[in-house]
Amino acid sequence: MKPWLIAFLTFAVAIGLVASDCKTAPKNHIVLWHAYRGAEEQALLELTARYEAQTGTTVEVLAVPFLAYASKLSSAIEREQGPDLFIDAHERLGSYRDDGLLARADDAFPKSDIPRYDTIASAVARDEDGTAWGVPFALKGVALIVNTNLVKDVPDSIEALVKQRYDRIYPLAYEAESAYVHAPWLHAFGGTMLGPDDSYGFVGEPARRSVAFARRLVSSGAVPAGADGALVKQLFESGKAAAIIGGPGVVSELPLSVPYRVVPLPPLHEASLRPEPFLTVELLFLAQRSATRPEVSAFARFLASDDSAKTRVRAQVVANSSTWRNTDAIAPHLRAFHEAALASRPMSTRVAMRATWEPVEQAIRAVLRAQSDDAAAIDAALAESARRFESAKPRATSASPARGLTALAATLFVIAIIAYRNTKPRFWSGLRASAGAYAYVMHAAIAVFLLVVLPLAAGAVTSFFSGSRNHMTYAGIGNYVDILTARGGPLLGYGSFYRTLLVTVGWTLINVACHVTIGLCLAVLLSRPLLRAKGIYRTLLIIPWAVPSYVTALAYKGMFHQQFGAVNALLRNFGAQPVSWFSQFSTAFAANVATNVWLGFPFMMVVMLGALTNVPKDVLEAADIDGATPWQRFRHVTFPLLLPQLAPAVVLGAVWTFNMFNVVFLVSGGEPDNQTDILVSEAYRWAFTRHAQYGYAAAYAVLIFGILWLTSRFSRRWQREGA
Amino acid sequence: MKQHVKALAVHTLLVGAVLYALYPVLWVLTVAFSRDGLGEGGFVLPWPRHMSCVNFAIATGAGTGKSALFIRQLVNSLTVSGATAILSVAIAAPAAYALARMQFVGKRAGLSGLMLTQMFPTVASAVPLYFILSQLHLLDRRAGLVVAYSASALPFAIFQLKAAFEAIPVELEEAAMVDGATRFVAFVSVVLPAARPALAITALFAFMSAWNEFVLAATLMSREEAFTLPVVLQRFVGEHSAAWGPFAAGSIVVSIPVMVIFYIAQKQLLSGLTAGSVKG
Amino acid sequence: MTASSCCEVRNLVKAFDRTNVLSNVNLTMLSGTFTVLVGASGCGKSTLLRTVSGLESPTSGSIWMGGRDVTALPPKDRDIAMVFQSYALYPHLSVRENLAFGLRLRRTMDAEINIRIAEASAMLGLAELLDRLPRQLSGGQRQRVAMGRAIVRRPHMFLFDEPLSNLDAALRAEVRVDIRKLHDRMGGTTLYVTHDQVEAMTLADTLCLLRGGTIEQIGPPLALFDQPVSRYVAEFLGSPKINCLDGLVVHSPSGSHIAIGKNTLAIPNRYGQLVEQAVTVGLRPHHLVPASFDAPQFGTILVTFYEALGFESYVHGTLEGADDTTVVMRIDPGHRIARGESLAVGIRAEHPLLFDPKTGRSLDARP
Repeated sequence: MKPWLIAFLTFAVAIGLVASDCKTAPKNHIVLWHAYRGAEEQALLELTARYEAQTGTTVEVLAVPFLAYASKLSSAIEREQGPDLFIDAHERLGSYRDDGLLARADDAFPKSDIPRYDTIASAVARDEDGTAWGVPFALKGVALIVNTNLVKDVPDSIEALVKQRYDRIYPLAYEAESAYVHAPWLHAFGGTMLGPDDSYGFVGEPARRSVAFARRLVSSGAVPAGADGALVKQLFESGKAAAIIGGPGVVSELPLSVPYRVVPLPPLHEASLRPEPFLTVELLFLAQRSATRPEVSAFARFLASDDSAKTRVRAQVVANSSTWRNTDAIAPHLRAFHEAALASRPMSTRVAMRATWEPVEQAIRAVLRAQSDDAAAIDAALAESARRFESAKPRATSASPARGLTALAATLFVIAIIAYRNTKPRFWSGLRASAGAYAYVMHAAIAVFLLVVLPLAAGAVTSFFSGSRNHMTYAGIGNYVDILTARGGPLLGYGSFYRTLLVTVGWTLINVACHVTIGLCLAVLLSRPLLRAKGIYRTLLIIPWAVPSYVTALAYKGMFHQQFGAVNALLRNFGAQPVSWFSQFSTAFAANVATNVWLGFPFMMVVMLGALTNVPKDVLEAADIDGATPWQRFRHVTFPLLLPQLAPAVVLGAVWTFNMFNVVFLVSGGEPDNQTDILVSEAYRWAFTRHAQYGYAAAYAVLIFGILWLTSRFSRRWQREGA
Repeated sequence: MKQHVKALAVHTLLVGAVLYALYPVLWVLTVAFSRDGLGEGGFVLPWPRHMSCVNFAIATGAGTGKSALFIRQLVNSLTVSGATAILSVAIAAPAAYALARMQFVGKRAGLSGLMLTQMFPTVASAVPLYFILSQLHLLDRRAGLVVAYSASALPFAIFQLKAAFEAIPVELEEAAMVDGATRFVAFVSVVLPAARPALAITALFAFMSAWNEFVLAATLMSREEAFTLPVVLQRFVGEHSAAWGPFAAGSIVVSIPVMVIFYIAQKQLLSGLTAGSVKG
Repeated sequence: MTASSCCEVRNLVKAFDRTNVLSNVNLTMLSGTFTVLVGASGCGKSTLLRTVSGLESPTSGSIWMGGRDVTALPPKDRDIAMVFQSYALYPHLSVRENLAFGLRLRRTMDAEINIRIAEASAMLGLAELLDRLPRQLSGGQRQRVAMGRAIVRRPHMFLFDEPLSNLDAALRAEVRVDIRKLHDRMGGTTLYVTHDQVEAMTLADTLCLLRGGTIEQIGPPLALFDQPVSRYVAEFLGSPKINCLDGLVVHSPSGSHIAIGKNTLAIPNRYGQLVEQAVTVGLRPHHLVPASFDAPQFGTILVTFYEALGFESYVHGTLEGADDTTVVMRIDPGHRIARGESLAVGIRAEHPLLFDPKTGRSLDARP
């Protein structure tokens, strides 16, 4: 009795501890959310403390991870929870305003204050009719960061910069495949990312010339191919890049040993316009629920005041123009970033803006990685990316809800009839006899229903709606028809449902086979009775499971980098040619699989170790006496005895792998051209990058569910027939 | 002699597996212990150029005077994950027992329903879940996290425990019932202790799922003192730049308790406790 | 129901999926008696035991204990203890805790628990094992712990479900005696299931032979052995098995006899009404002896196999003139007989057992 009493007490204490949280919301209390870290966060906290001391208002500052920021904001504010005030990039203004999350900021940002801020910042915080939806706070954009040891005088053009030759040092490094960093080239050639009326801007002559320019940079060897932000920073830190394009965030994390200077991007010789980078203006937003609270506006005014800006300018490019009149005390790099910001182009606040990144980056990648320079290839890539943008647009499908309701009623009626007819005569007495068992399963049933089934069902219902979030219209089965007909494109074309399904099935089979094989082999080795250092081995082998997968998945991505990855370094040591892992389907897929196998085998190993302890020893001895070889013993005795215990783990492992989107997201990111995407990562793209079409994503989810369900039904039937 | 060769082969295989398991982690370690990043990369053996613990100082808040907060968040992670492990096993065990031993109306439907929940991607369910938890007044409370994590860990826990209970001879409970136990007492005082390894493994799985989760934690919790460690770690990733050094260091710190727990618990996890209870 | 009856099973029916495993079983166990349920596998003996224990509930009928209807009571309220075939020791508890488990559940005082454990372990020789876990015990030790767990409870009734079947033969014979001694010493009522007829014969006060879910015969073991109600009972009990020979009752002026092929067997006159009827004659191996003055020759057997057990010997052979029916006879160990030898046999039975060849029921006309 004692151990279970202890367990119960622990349980009670844990519940007590956990339940002791209690949220108190005193009056005169302001909640502020931000995603800053480091010096910017310090400055904000300092100001807050000063304000609290001055006014007696209490302010609760919460730093939210960037990856969860937007979704947390919208869920919280919709539920009348969350912050009174939050700091976010101006390009989300459009969607926040349309979703009704924002209060007007006129009290905090009256018309009389417009001159206080940089013009560019004032402009984006107000819409066409002059309504303020936020208070200008800080400016973020990229500039050229040069290593002053290598570059004494900054050349007057990009061409001149990349013409410099060093020994094994790149004259320039930037995220060549990022649309955000590519934008200055596009702007220099007179293009835009998003045209008027939400049309796709990455077309025509400017787009063509910009990608051709980028391709020349890379193919001449002046710019490293396929570098991500971390690699760019790494190259600069180690003196392997003379100049990089980056933002203030990069500079603030540079080690002291690197001498640098920040300058606005030099112009392009061959282009007629300046290479304007994208500008992000960080705004202070007032949440809808705090619209009537003057103290929130007052606090916002305080944070954005010229006085506070003197504190903030230590860490960021503030939007207050007065601060920049006397720049003596300001760090030179921030001055340079401010100068660069004034020459930048604010990103569009339209919701459609976010849907341009994916097709633009696809086009850039296609051109940069193409074998030849020919113009037709560039045109084809641009045409394909425009087609993608168009096909990802929300369709104006709408259906009559009446028909949907009729269908629902009919379905329920049919289900009721089937249920009634299938009710066995002893159903009710059986129900009474089951009462005892229900006492055991009730808690689990309620918990799973409430917190697992209900949210999933609610999600499934959204699959009948189309449009972006908060602007959904009833679409009937329109989403399903769209997906299953590949939106009118070729049924087995890239990104089509069927092609992705094939990839997903292959992904699942290979992964599960590897997980089971490796897990089983290790478990068998580790359960040898006379093995030494068993505990050490076991513990070391679960490391892939213990370290958060986010970091290790990115470590894998780094290991597969063409130029700087360890895998290619190893290949080079053996005299093999380095492989560009993410430019072909087969190798990108292999990289994903390698990562996921590594992440998943410890789980299987632990499950199997547990199961192996349940295999009776006498049966194994009997097999020995019968003259079985160790392999025969395993194949004919151990394995059949393990199988029933493994079945749940293997089936669930297969289901989980089928829906394992984060490895695909983090390692290959779907490259090349979404070919390595699996169904669920495709669903996530629809939900988060392509106009936030939750309905479409939900329809994908329902289809995934349907496929898995049918597979499990059929496999059970085959099993029964086979037995 | 033959035994030695065999043992050598086994150890070679295991060392190979350990290297495979460790290699990517060595990269993470190298990033964590480097003062100034990895340099230009392109080498096979990971080792920091300038060994330094500054990233650990940043990650644990020791550098910014926030180590008390970090410890608080570590305690949060431990309590939330621990409570999730206990709660999910406490709820799953009776249900798994009923599914393993009793006949009742809806048993098959319940089992396949549990399996179905695992097949549905969660892509569109975050918003409804947030709504339900706010209706239950569980937002911004560690209890809310525990409840949500436990519920999502339940299906696997139930399957796992059901298989384990089925492996326990039914005579054990019958003996207890003849000895004067009700069915429930027999379950608690005989079946559960006999299934201790399976309970421990199931608890470990639930613990791990809660320990590494961050999306839900970041969405549900709105006070810094209530955050769990993965949320804190994720803060090192920004929109345009990420502080990989502290992030890697933090990840290493986060994984240490799990490995300690596993090392201590592995005897429990892997002992064949039912051996010898029945038959010869 | 008499005052001394401890347990009574009335009109018990137990069906699984519409097949009757037990049909209409009635059984009365008197206080202090040792009742053995015996039968081939699948006859329902274990089900009957489990129904008495309360682990199974009957489809219809009732169980009475000490004058109370306990049909609806769970096992814990029936004041019984049970020893399982697999012993079912609690793997996580030491021997001492295993013994104490049931007492603790009944909130027995600690002092009392210690007394009873000491008593039981002295009785069973468990004293040195008390602090071990079940997995550290040998098979015989586990079996004794399982019995100890029943004894400490001092129940009104002990139930044994084939408790010896996992032991080796020598140990089994030893423990068998121990069980009977324990029963006599404890004075409880015992219900014991076995498929082993030796165990059944040696242990039982009352032997209950089950066949196909019904009681074939019940009574003192020797009554079943000597006066089986059917050929089934006769064949089930006794080792080697009883010889069954097909014969025909013939009436002649010198008296009745049975013709078995060419051989004849005299029978008492009271079988006179069976004239010209086909019968099955049951002759136990010890009824056949080498022909002598006391046992005039009945036939000749051709020896096919000779088994010497030391204290007695068995001769297997075919009976000549009777379609070579196989018979087994017992002889004293002094004889030396070789394969292929012919042996004249006589019969030393007061009366043979006669069965109806069609129904297998006994034709014994005695009251």
